[in-house]
Amino acid sequence: MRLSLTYQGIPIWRHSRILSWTAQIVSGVLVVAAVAFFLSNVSSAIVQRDIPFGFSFLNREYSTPISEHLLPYEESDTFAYAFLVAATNTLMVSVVGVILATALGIVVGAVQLSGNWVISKVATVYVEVFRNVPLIVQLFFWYILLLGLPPVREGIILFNAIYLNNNAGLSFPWPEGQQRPGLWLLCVVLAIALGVVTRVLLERREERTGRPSYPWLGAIGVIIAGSLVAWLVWVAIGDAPYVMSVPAPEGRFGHPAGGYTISIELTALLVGLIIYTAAFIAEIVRGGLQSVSRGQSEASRSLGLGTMQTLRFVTFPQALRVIVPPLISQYLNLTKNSSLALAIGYADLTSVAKTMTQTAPAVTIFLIIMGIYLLYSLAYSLIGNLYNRHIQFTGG
Amino acid sequence: MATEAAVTAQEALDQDNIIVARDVHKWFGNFHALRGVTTTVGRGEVVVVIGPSGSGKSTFIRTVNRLEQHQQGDIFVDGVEMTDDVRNIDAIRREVGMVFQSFNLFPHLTVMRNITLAPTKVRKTPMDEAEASALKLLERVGIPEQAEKYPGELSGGQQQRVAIARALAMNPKIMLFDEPTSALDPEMIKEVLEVMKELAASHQMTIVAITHELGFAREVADRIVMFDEGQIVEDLPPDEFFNNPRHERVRRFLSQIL
Ligand SMILES: Nc1ncnc2c1ncn2[C@@H]1O[C@H](COP(=O)(O)OP(=O)(O)OP(=O)(O)O)[C@@H](O)[C@H]1O
Ligand SMILES: [Mg+2]
Repeated sequence: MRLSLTYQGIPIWRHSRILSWTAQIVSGVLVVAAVAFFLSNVSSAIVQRDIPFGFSFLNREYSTPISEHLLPYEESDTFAYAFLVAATNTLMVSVVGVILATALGIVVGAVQLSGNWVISKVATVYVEVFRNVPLIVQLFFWYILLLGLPPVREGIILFNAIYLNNNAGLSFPWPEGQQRPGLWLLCVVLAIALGVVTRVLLERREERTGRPSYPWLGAIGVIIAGSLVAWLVWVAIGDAPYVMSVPAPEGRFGHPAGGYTISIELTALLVGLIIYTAAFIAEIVRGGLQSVSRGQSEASRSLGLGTMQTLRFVTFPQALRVIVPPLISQYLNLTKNSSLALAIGYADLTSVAKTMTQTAPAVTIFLIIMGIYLLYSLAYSLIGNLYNRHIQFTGG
Repeated sequence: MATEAAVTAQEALDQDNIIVARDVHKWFGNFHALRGVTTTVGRGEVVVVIGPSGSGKSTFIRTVNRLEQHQQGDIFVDGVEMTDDVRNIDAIRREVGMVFQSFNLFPHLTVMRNITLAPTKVRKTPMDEAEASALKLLERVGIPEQAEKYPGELSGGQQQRVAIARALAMNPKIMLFDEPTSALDPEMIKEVLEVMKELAASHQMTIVAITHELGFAREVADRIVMFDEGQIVEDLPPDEFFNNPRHERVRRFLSQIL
């Protein structure tokens, strides 16, 4: 009998859609099989060699100090809470690092394109040096540099407010909550939201009527006025929401008290991560701006738009499209690289986890922190993708 | 008009001349791209510029809206001298529209936004007014139905017509065209030339167009100016230019491109 397997009149072994489905199913089965094989091996190894595994330790007391923590922490806290403390430390390093590295990177990238020969050469040297030296070497370098600073009294003191020395670390002024600071912050957030709305409305009005409506001025005005009014209400009721606490030398050794103090380990980690990542971001920004063809700015200028208008309406929106995806991947890199904190002794997620393995099952601990890093990465990617979708355009 | 005889200061201020160039020189590094260009363009005149590649045609018309700076000589546009004064430059650019060989539409903006951007941001025209006149311009260039599309969704000929509409939206007194059809397929060249012919015939504005479409030149140009090696070597009405050029170089050039 003649075999006649056809779909839509085409022999199935030649039908592109059936072929592609078959390939998908076959590869899917292979992947599942491989994973199952691996898992069964691992689990039998765990059973045979009696590797401890399980999550019951999470409710035990961790009973180990964490040298520096953003969240309140005591040794009597549980493993689960210690994870949260360490994860928060890593998140803080990541967020602070990302913000400052982006700011520095944009400046350096833009400066490289500026007509100023001296500054642009300096920027290029910076980028080349810091991109091409291993990060861990740089971290040790900053750490050793900071360790080499003189002790408290002879350390670096700026404006009588910022102290940097080898034992206390870096102390700087910091607002200290006084009366319902959280509620006041909420008011500020509301004012910002109102400011954004104001900007949009004024911009529309300007476009509609052609009369200058100063959207930015309006927005900033609303934000400042809103925050100020709330502040005055607080003062009228009792106390200001915050007071600025400025560090000042205290006691026999003159350790700075007040303000906020971070260890030299954290300082070195942040400085290292920021300077290293900013070098990459500078290249991304430079490439993005250069990717917009000269014809674009020429067309814009020939229509009578000014330099800043050209940058804002024509060049930058197009550069952003090129900049954002690699920028997000630098954010992921910075977050992952923050695990090198282990080498210089800052209590980030990885170094706390490493310490935990002395008293709890290592496999579980590392599975958990892998999950946490993955979560952070996914969060950045999600923000990036949403933003990218927002600025993407058809055609082009 | 007056190419050979030196243009006098009087002519620069003459209200009939909208572009006056006097002995304009331009160097790119050591390369002497414009070697003493002197010419005037009257209000409402249509001037076609031709010449071999690298002869300085683009460089010259780009000095008229200061996309290139000249280093020697004077250029007056609508009575305003082209200097480093930023205010003059911005004022001139508002009055001078430019259409490029590569369209240079803004790919991240719709056709409509491409056209309304400059009127709303530079002239502060109300948006609904700007949109209404953008639609009229799109009708004039024959593509009113493309208003909400992005440039990447249009054919080359359509893109160039949007670029023309975008320049027209600023109501310029002068339109500069730099080989507007040479990046187009033959079937699209015609639709763009039709739009340009209609503009030229309306006599609402001064047109300076670099193009090797000699049919267009013959039909609508008041003068044809030929550049060679950074200088103007011929400047004649079309009839004379084609039938009775004074320079051998023109004859040679015409035989090459015909
Ligand atoms: N930005 C620049 N830097 C250096 N040289 C340039 C620059 N722009 C133009 N030139 C040179 O100046 C000369 C004149 O260029 P221009 O573009 O004005 O010629 P053109 O007559 O428009 O030629 P084409 O028909 O090829 O467009 C050319 O030799 C060109 O290489
Ligand atoms: Mg050219």
